[in-house]
Amino acid sequence: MKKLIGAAILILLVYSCKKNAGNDPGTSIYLHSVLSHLRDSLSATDLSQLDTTKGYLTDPRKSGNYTLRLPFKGKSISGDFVLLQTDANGNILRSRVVHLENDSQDGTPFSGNIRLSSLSGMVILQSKVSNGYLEALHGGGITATPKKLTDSKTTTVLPAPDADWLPEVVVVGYGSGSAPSNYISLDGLLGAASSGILNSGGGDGSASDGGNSGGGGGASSGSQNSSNTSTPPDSTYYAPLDPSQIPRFSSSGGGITITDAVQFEKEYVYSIPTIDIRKFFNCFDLVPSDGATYSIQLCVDLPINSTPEASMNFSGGVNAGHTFLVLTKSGNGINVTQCFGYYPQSAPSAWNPFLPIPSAMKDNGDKEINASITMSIDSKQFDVIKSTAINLSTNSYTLDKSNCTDYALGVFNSTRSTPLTMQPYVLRQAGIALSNGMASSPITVTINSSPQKLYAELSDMKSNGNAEASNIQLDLSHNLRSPISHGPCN
Amino acid sequence: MAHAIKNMKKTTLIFISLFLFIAISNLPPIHWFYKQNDCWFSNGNGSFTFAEMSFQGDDFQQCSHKFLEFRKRKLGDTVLYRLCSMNIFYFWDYGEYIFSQKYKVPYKSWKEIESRRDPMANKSGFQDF
Repeated sequence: MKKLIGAAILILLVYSCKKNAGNDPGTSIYLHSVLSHLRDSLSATDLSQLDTTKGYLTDPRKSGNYTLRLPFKGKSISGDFVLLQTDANGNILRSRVVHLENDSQDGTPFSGNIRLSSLSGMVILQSKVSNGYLEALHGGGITATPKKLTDSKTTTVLPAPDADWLPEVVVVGYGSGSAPSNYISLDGLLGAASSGILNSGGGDGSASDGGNSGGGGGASSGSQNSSNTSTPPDSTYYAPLDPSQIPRFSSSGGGITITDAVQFEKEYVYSIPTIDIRKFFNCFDLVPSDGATYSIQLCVDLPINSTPEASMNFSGGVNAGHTFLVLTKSGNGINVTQCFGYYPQSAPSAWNPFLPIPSAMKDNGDKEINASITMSIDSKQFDVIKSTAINLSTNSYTLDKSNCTDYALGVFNSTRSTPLTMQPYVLRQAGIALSNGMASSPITVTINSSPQKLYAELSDMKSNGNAEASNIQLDLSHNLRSPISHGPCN
Repeated sequence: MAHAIKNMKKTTLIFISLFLFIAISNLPPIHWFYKQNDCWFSNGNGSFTFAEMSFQGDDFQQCSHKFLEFRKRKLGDTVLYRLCSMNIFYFWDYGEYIFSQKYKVPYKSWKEIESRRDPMANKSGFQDF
């Protein structure tokens, strides 16, 4: 009996370790096949510039796609590479030559420029990249179509219409203490992805499909033409932008390094639904500018009304308070009001709350106001506020340096000759008694701008009879609320 | 007999330890260190949608207030649904499931709501998503 069980385990082990040689991409046959097809599409000069000894293939067992990156000799793969989608036999289905320029600093989302070309050298797309998003695809008024959930496994996923576009390049925190790494949606760049980023209906499956670029719609309209694609419709696979920097996610075989693919489901990427701040500003065009009046209101919502200086409210969650803006344009009997604020895409980690994280804008209609200051502005000042609000919304969220108060105050102060300032909020954690009888050193955290200190500043201005005192409202009753926003406009 | 009593004591001890472990994992300072339980809400046809972001005060209380305002304006379905389901394996959330007001709101899947949602060009001021 023991022998029988032993034999069964041995058979299982052998089978579990067995590789399907026919589909193993890490063989020289696969690479040879790819290169022979590339010779048909690339000039001999271009082909000679490719470094075929350092190819990176995204793990097809995970992503279901054979997505191969080949760098150019003497250039970093994070900046220049040929991107190919092939079948298991090395036949090229889609191709792009990718050039990326990253202007952002370490630890911040990818921002810079991207150029996508066909193998023949025709430029398909040239765009700025802001916080991982290709501006050419997101700022051009593309109408998103809400995704239809077809996979029963994704019933808890909550798609937002604006969230149909996953960022083409994202930053992922890599464990505590280590530097974040840039990941890229290779499928998105190829136009074959579930995210539909570059889709424009099908693609012909040829090696020189240079024409199917730009302005594809939402994912539901995008085609999944690859017969070997098994990517779930509500997720996208991302690969490390520079796989050589992440050795533990790579494995070599047959001249090609196989890199891991990380799957992002929509609910993971979109922790909160965001608003397109440009679309919010578009609605102000509904009011004729001739003779129109404008106002901006800087609002504070405290975490605990009865204790305005309290840093957080721990009742039913962690609430650190909020600062937001209410903008109004009125004229010709029409009134448009928009309330919005700056958020982290997900709550900062309790383990490392000061780590920069992607930001998001959110509608703040019907939100409690505990203190506010209103300022009348003219059309020129309104334009400055608009551009500042859009520009600052692309910054990463950092709890101590770029939070909701920093954003709202930055926009509010952009047109003021005497900027509104406040004292920094300083949190002191006393030392903890250690087992050896000693005490650990106290921890001091300084947050430059906070709802608490803004409330205190406005309160002081009001009580001191400041020139703007009449424009300041203080209300700790929970009854003062911002109006309902108009919502976005195309 | 003595063996049975010993076994019973052992079982009781295991149950008490398990209960204490679950209770401690539900305590706010520990619970919040690894999880912020934000939830999304919608009415029956998706004309009202709200995404919690408790960290900046967009909590269920605000959702309720905004939904009251929505109902006053008679803009659509008047029943609020919770879109986040309870998970029996998330023992660290049991406290919230029992005591939090938001989990007293009935659950409906987004898939079902979305199928009843009218096509929309743009969100209204009552739609977070």
